[in-house]
Amino acid sequence: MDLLEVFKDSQDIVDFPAGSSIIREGEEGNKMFVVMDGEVEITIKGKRIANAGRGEIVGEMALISPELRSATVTALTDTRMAVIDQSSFESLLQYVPDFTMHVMNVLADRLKGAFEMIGD
Amino acid sequence: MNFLRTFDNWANTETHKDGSVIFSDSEPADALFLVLEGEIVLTLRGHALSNEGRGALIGEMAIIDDTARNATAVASGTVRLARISPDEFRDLITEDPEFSLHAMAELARRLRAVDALLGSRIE
Repeated sequence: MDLLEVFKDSQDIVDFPAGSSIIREGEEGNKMFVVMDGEVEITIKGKRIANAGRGEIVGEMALISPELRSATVTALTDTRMAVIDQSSFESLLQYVPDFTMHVMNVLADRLKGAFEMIGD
Repeated sequence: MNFLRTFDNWANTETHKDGSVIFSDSEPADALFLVLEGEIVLTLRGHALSNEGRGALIGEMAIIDDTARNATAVASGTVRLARISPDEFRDLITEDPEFSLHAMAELARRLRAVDALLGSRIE
């Protein structure tokens, strides 16, 4: 699913300069983001677990289960993000099954990455 | 969990005795399982990950094409499971929003558990 296409006309766009924090582990959060341009790094306790670039999502965990942010996301380059709040997220899940499957594939990929890091 | 009714007449169910291995690390991940009755213990390379009861979804690596299992699932007591192929899973996601939300929450729960294990190893 091409999220760049889905969110190209989004009104809720935020720019983060290189080096800035987008999400901090342990904080409360109620938004997820689609990377429209740039690249971000996902870390847990300072250890890099993944990067995300154009068309990829970050921050989805806080919208799925009401717990604290599980990882930190930092802009590696100047980054433009489309913001998805709880109500938009719920609408997407309800009306766009492809979006649901896409988010689940992202979670499964992250799980696979985490499993592999534990195996190392 | 109304979606569980979908599985009352699920064609492909299986029963496992106490101690039997439902899937093992590094086997091909060809199906997901929904726990209908009983309890399963998930382990990850010898680390206890979680105990999973009725309604839990396990074996989620099967939604990624050509992926191997990363965890091992063992029956704790007698368990009854619904076996869900990746295609059936995609159909359920499309047709049943309640199942869809549940499956996503289950994936997030597993990811948090694995991230917590990973975090404890970073410290």
